[in-house]
Amino acid sequence: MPTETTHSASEIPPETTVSPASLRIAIERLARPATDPGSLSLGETEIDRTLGGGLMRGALHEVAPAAEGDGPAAGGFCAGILVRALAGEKRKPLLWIRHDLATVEDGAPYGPGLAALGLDVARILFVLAANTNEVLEAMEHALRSATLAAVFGEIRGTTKLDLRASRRLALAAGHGATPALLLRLGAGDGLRAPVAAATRWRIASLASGDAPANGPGMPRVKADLIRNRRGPAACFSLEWRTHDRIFRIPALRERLAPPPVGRPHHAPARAERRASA
Amino acid sequence: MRRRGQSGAPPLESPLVVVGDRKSALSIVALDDAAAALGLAEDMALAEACARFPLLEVAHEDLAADAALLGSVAEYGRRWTPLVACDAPDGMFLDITGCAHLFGGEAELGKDLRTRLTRQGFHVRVAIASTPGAAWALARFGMEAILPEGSERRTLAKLPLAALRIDGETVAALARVGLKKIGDLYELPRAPLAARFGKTLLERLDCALGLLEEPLSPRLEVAPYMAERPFAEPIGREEDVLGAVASLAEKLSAMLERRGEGARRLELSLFRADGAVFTVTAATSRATHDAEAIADLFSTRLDVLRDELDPGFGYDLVRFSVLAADRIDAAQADLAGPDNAEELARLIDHLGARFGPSRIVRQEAFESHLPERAVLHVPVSGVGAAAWKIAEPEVPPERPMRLLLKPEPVEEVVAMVPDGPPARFRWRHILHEVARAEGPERIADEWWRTAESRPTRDYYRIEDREGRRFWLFREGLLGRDEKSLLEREKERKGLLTRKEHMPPRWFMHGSFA
Repeated sequence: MPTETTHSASEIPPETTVSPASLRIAIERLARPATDPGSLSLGETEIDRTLGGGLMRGALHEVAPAAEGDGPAAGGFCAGILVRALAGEKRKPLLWIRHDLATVEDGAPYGPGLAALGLDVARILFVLAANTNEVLEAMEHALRSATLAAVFGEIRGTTKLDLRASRRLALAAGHGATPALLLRLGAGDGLRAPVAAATRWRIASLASGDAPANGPGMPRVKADLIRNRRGPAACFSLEWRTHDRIFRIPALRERLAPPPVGRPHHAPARAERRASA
Repeated sequence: MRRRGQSGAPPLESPLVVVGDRKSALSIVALDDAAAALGLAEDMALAEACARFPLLEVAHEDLAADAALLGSVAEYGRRWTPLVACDAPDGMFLDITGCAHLFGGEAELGKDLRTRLTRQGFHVRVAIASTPGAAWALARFGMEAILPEGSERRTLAKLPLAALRIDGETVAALARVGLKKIGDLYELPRAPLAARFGKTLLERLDCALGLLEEPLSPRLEVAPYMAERPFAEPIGREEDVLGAVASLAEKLSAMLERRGEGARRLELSLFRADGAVFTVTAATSRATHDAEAIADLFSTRLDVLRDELDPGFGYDLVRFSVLAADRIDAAQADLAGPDNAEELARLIDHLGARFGPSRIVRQEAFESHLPERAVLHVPVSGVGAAAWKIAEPEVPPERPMRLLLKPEPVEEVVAMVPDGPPARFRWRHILHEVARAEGPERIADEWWRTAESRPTRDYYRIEDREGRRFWLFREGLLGRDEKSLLEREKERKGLLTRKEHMPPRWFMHGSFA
């Protein structure tokens, strides 16, 4: 054994001096994420490839529920992206601009629930805005400052978001290289108008993954990417992995898996119906 | 001081008196020159005055309005000195020590004060003396003058005893023994005087003569830093005001920097030419002496308050003061680390100035069983180490992502077993067929909150056929018919709340991602 050690040591050419600088470069190369720094990886290679490396930082991304009842699913998708954005930054906080109407209609973001999704709630600053214009104004100002890991604004209602307003946001996002996420709840037909967003997503609810005792499992959503500046439109079924903090496309087998065996609520429900008839 | 006529009233033809309840009758408490010329006087009964002059215009006294008016005049008085004290009902003290030279001497200051207040419609009497007592006596009973230091004794000797700020009864009692002027007291032995007329008399005398220090209680504390700029020609345009704010912010910033301090709370006072004073305050999340940041903060505030600020004829004085300052090198808990903390603080301050500081919040975990109490919304400035439970390895969230402000009733609940999860329910007019459910998680009321006891809640995590996930709870307990021994005992003692006996009801409380 000792001879071998000496041998391997002699392998290194004597002229190679290991300087701290070269070591640092080597370490940086190892530590560098696979994707480019201008993009926010969502953790699933297939999506990242479609998005051209991930969600563009310094751009506006629009998320809306596919139907009125899908608001929580769309919110969950945003929460996942925010977790990824926070993980990429060491200490920068996240600005979450809430619309009072959304708080009344959909409820207030709930710390314990956000933490359960893997969000570092201590790093979220909430701004309470009274109307859509205030949300957009706060977003724009925050995006320009370049001190935040991400800026997330939620608006509710059919107020039109015109091309100019969204372009302002996109420009501000580009200025600070901060990802801007806009959740549009209850926008209805307002979603048809063009928006200066790098990606536009329509999110629908999806039955969750397996869980013990037939309870709801890890959150899943159907994410429809209807506009993608850096690639084709696509549709994914996504599962949020709380612990790894990544989105994952559940295996086909899982997706096609039949509903859990012996759904106990079924028969009795029918029996009850009969009983009540 | 007295404002001529009632504000807002048309130019008065007939003499005006203001009356108030005195000794269970309406008596005159104030009157204008015209009324005085008729021979009316204070303390005269209204009935008598009306009998003599039926055309008299009569107004009721309004003490609250008087106090508010005096307050606003005192606020205006801050343009001469920060130390202004109200002397109800109709006077104010200004401590002009060290301020007079800014206005060209005491005489000039007095003249300026008189001119400005007279222009606003007040009768003003100004006296300047070394002691508040002497100034008070001169302004009300003597000549309006500037009393040189050391001449109080001689000047006050000729004034009536009422000039000592003592009540009418004492004055009358002194008059009965032949004491009428302040000078009459000088030679008298002090002990018997105090014994007979009270200690206050001698105290007031000593205060007026400067033998006893009399502190003023200023309306507002004096700001540690202050910068101001008078304008010979009042300014009213927004950009002029913002320009003044920017230049004053630079002055302040230089003063702060010299002492190594940063501003935490700032106040901007705009003195309108006609006497109105607007004050605008703003706070910073960390001590700063950055002039640009300070000016930006106030331009945002002024923009928000634009509708309330009416420049009218313009402002003739703009004052910027730091109400609270901190050492700038003090360790500050910040969110973003040293690299961009400064810029982040600026962003937070800007948003706070724009939307109100209470609209920028963080969530902190709070030990409570009740889900709606488990979160505290705290202002951002109070940064604390929030302890949040870290997500466990691959466990589906047990708490919803959004919590409704108030649990909403759920209807048409069909459950296969009475104490099981629902199989179907209707919420906000939509029928949901339950596909999966987990529960119950029983959350009882915090027993130490006895004021209003709430029924026990059984929470279920529910997923419907469309994959929508909800947090539902059933309120109230089932199977109360078969009461346990303990419960029966509780009921006997009246400990069990009535609500526990109501049939269970279902509520929607939140939604999962």
